[in-house]
Amino acid sequence: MASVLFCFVLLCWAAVPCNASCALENITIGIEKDGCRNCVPVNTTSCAGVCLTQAEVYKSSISLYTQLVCTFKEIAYVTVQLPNCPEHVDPFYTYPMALSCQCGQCDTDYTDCGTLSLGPSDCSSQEN
Amino acid sequence: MALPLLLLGCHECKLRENKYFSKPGTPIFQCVGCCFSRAYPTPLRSKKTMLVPKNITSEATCCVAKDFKRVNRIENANLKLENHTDCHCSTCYYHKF
Repeated sequence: MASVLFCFVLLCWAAVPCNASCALENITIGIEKDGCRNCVPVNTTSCAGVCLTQAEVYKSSISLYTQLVCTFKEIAYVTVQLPNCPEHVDPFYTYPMALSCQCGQCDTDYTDCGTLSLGPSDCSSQEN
Repeated sequence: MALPLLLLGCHECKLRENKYFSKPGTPIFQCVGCCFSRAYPTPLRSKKTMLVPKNITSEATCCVAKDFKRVNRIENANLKLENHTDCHCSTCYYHKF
């Protein structure tokens, strides 16, 4: 009976893909704009987790070797209006919100691809 | 019974024998495993420092060799290999497109 239960747990675990830990994460970001007095904290979703990668032992100039990182898969753009903005400043600010995540390559068209840093910032970490 | 890697989950970045390049008596090891990465909307203050502002910031680490030894396979057209001896999660170089 114990072996049957053990096999059932293993089968369930096998059904979960290895990149399951790369998932949506609730975060708070600080929305601000030059000229507008207030920084507005906004709850949104981003992506975080682990992805499987490996280092090559044979380095070739024609190698198609790629590394996968946790990144946005489906994106929605959300527009918010900032309060207390002067008349000559557009009070609207648009930011990307993750709808789903994946272990994939980093798209340099719209992503700044770097290494671990300070992470997202909310209004409390920004100096006025 | 040897369990497939998938059943073991996403394991830490560590050495694993590369069966393709290994030979009896001279195993070749490579770094394989899971490392942390994240992506989030770029803060305004960070955008101002970018030459080409991007809406999303990705911070990633990849499983790479911390140390390795060079191996020359003279019998295979002088094939130059790296035999990894230590691994860690560090800077990714092949994740962009």
